[in-house]
Parts: sequence; structure tokens; C-alpha cells
Amino acid sequence: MRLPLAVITLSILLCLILAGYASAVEEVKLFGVIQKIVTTTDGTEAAVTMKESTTGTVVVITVIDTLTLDKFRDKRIVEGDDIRCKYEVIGTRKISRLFKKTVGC
Amino acid sequence: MRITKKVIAAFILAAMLPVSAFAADAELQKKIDDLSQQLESLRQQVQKSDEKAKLTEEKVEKTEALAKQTDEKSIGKWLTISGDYRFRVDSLTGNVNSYYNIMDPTFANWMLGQMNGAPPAPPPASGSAAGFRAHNDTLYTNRFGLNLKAKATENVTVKARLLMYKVSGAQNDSSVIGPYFADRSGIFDGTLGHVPSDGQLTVDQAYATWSNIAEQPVWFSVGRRPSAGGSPSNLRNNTEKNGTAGTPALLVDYAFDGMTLGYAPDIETLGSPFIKLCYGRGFESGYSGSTPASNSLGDTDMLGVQIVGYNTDAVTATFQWNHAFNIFNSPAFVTGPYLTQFGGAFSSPSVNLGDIDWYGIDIVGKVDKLGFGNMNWFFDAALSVAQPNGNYVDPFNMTGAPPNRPVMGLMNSGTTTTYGQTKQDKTGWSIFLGGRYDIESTGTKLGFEYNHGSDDWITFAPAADDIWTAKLGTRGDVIETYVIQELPLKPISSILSKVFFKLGYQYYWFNATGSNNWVGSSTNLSNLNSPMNAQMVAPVKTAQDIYGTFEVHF
Repeated sequence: MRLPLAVITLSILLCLILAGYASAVEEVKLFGVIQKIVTTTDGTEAAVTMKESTTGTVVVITVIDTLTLDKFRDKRIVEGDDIRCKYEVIGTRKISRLFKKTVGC
Repeated sequence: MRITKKVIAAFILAAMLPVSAFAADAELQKKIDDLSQQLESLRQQVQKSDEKAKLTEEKVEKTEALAKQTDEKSIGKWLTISGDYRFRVDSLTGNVNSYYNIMDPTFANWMLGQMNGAPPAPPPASGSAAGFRAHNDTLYTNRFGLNLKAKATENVTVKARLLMYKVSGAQNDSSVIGPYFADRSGIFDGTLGHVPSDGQLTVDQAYATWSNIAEQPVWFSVGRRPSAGGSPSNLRNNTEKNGTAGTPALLVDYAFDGMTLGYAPDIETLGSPFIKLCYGRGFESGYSGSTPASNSLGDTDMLGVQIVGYNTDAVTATFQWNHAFNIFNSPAFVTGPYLTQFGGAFSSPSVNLGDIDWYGIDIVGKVDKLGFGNMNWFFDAALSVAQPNGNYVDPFNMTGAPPNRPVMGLMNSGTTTTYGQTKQDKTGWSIFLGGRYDIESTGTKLGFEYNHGSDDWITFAPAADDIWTAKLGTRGDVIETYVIQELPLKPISSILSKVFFKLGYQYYWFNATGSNNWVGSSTNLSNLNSPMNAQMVAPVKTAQDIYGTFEVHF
């Protein structure tokens, strides 16, 4: 009885640790200019090449939320726009969690 | 013998063999040598080719680096130019109510006499103005605006708008100003470029914005503000929504010099909400002090808070509060008859009349795919609360004038002896609603707007794009309908470039006098038959404007 209980406890602990890790995935902020937007044929995803404002580093962000994809389609966000972005690194991709034009005025 | 012959033949053949073999070897060797030479030549050619390729690669790398440098500095990377041109024709008709004209000297003297104990007498006939029809059958105007946006540094941009609005066949505003409405009595700061006049290019907007302060969605912006043509007038103007810029048109339509501090928190459930603290200077009074030459006039300032609490593509809801300090009796007119009338009492600010509070909401929305088009709609409402101080304008204060004279304060009228006791706060209200139906397949847009203002409604919108008077300041009702037809032409200068015709119709019904004028109390038009309700400006009862435009946005 103790062995299965130990296994169950360890499993629960492992789940909690993994869940904690998942929720602790860091969101990275980025302020930059859109250089290129490439949308997939089915329109469910877009690869946005951004040039970070301070360092000039080029970063490719993957956008999957429909609101932002709609803005690409409607040309409300276009190449050359200044963007405030937050993304998570999942695997080899940087997935956008916030993608908005820089506010001002 | 046969053997011998055979042997001899064999010997001869054998003897010949080395010779031929030698010859073949020599030829082969020659061929080998030739091939070797060719090979060597080819090897040298390849080597030279390799060297050239290396040089070319180095050149390409240098060129790419130079191109990248040039691209970095390319003007298109940091400067955006856009603008608009409009040709407009208006056909204007107005019906003026009969009234008593205080501007008539004989009548003015009679009235002053009656107020100061003269025997009762009927008013002189010269003071009685019959109703009449005012019209301008064709008014042509040209308007040109040029917008510049410069990315100066990381997170700092400068924007400017230069504006020219000219009456065709004139270099002044005399054809659009008249004795009807205070906001169309002349041009002044804040309406330059928004009311037709001469061909001068004025600076309508010029401001710098610092965004992403401390890497937060906070911004600070200062300069000549984009405070004219706010929501929802973008529908009628066929332009894009202002984003975080501007103020609701029902409350403010005026080119203010001022500043904004804004914050846009990331609250996804509310879309893209934001809050702004706005400040503007409406009038700079200059030096004040204790010498006789100095003035005690205060600056006219406006402070406002705008809360856009819900902001999505479907609905945007805005609440705005504004407070104006030290409201002036008159703007500093650049043109118009008030420069000389009444000894200049209404030509420029000379007295602070009190303060005004405004509270307003602006709700705009869009329903996609409603029938065969998209429906844009809006609903605005506002309250104005005028709080007069004890100051007033005394236009009859001349040498020898009697002690008791008519005076005008903030939304109140009275006499020199009673104004202090009779003045009171005045609350007015207004609603503004309408929409525009866009048929994308044909580029046709159909618009309808209605607004109503109470008798004591006052707004701050003299720069509104209306010829008669700012329609949103009307004390009465206004309807407007228009149709826009965009031409199916491919944009070149910008994805937002467009060309369109617009045909529109406005009709005003005025219930009370003094639309867009906070000096003096309003009088219901049905009470103008009393000589004690004499008017300084001709009271328009109804007015219409049929207009057409040809516009290019680039």
C-alpha cells in the first residue's frame, strides 16, 4: 500500500512542479518596429519580423491570436508600425501574448 | 625460300614497328603535352576566376553594408508624409426671425432711457428688424492639409499638420462670417485653417510625444494638439479613428495648445483601454502686475480627464470631463466686425466671466456584415454647467452713459445694478447620435446624424467643419445626411489613400438664441417680440446647407 501511495504522491508533486514551471514561463517585453509580416495561407498564424528599438536586434515573433491577425488583414497594423509586444518562448518559437501599437498622443 | 621471304617480311615489319611505335609515342606525348598545357592554362584560368570571385564577393559585402547603412538612414524609415485635399461647394440658406436690434443707435438710446426712468414710450421703428432670408447660393472653398510624422529617437515622435482653407475668389473670410453666430464672427486662434478664409498655410498641429516611458504603456505629449475633428466626426470626414488622440467632438473642437499624460493598462478583457489627463491654454493673458499698464485678466485654461474604459473593434466607450478656468468674454479675433463694434468690447478678451464644467460620453461601435454592408453607429451625450462670477461685459459703457445699462456675463444677462444678484449657474445638455452604413463592394457610404441642444447648452467647438455655425453647439435640432462614393482606384502613396465624392445636406432648427455663444443669456425665439429681448446678432430660426465635395486623401 505504501508503494502505490508513494508513487501517487510523487506523481502529484511532479505535476505541481511542472504546473508551477509552466506558470512561471517568463513573458519577454519587446518594443520595436515591424519589418515584415508573413501570414500563413490559412490565416491562422503570422510570422512577424521585428527590429528591436534599442539594440537593433531582429526578432521573429509568431502571432496566433485572431484579433491581431484581423488587424494584419485589415491593414490596421502594417510594416513600419511601432509595436509593444510581449512574448513567450515555447520550444524554438516566440509566441506573442500581447501585440499592440505603441500608444501616444 | 618461302620461309626466308616470310622471315624477311617479319624482319622488315619488326624493323618498322619501333619506328611507328616511336611515332605513335611521340604523337601521344605531344597530345599529352598539349593536354597538360591546356590543363595548366585552365588551372590558371580557374585560379584567376577564383580570385575574381573573391574580389566580387568582397565588393558585394561592402555594397550590402553600404546599402544597409543607406537604408538605415533612408528618409522613409523615419519620416512619413500624408495629407488631404478637398474642393467643396456649399449652397446656404437661412431664415432670420424678426427681432429688436440693439445695434441700432436710436433703439439703443431708447432702451437706455427706459432703463433709467425715461417716460414710457414705444420703441422706435428703426430698431425693429423684420425677418429675412439670408443666402449664399454657391460658396466654393479649397482646403489642403499636409501631415508630417518624424521618428526622432527611440520612443519619441514629432507630428505636425499644416492646413490651408481658402474661399475661392477671395483672400479673406468676409464671405463666411456674418452677423448670425458668435463662432462665425471672425477668425481666431484655434479656428485658423478650420473656417474658410485666405490661402495662408497655418500650423494646425505640432506636437512631440514620448511613448513607452519607463518601458510602460505611458506617454507624454505636448504642443499644438490634435483636438479638432474628434470622435465621431471621423465618420463624416471619412477618415480613420483617432486612436488615443483627440477628444469627443461634442465637447471640444478647437486647436488647443496644451499637453497630455496618458496611460494604457494591459487589461485584455477591456480591449485597449486608456486614460488621459489633458490640459490646454485657450488664451494667454500676458503680463500682469501693479502698474496701470498691466492687466488683471487671467489666462483661460482647460483641464480634462478622458477615460476610455472599453475599447474594442465592436464598441468603444469614452467618458470625458473638462473644466474651463477664467472663460473670456471674447476670443482675440483676427478678423471680423467685432474688431471695431462697441468700442472693441468684443474684439479680444477683456474680462474673465467664470468657469464651465462639461461631462460627456461618446460611445461608438461597428457591426460587421449587417446585410450587405457594415454599420458604424454612435451615441454621444453631454452636460454643460456654466458658473458665472460677478464680472460682465458692459458694451454701453461710454462717456455720458446712464448708470443702469444692459450687461452680459457668462450665460447670464442683466443690468449693471442687478447682475450680481440675478446671475445663476446655467446647466445645458445635448445629445448627438447617428451612423454610417458602408457598402464595401461598391465603395458607397451612407450617413445620418442628429443632434439636439437645450436652450442653455454651450460647447467649445468653434473649429467644427460646418459653415453656418458648429452644428454640435446648436440650441435646437440639426439633422445631417450624406452619401460618400469612393472611387475604385488602387492606392499608391499609402494603403489609406483614397479619392471620393461626398454629397450632403444639413438642416438646423434653432429654438433659442446664442448657439455657440456663452456671453449673455439665451432667449427662446418665441420671446423675441419683446423689445427688452433685443439682440446683438440676427437670430437665425432655420438654416440649411447643401454641400458637395471632391476629396483626395494621400
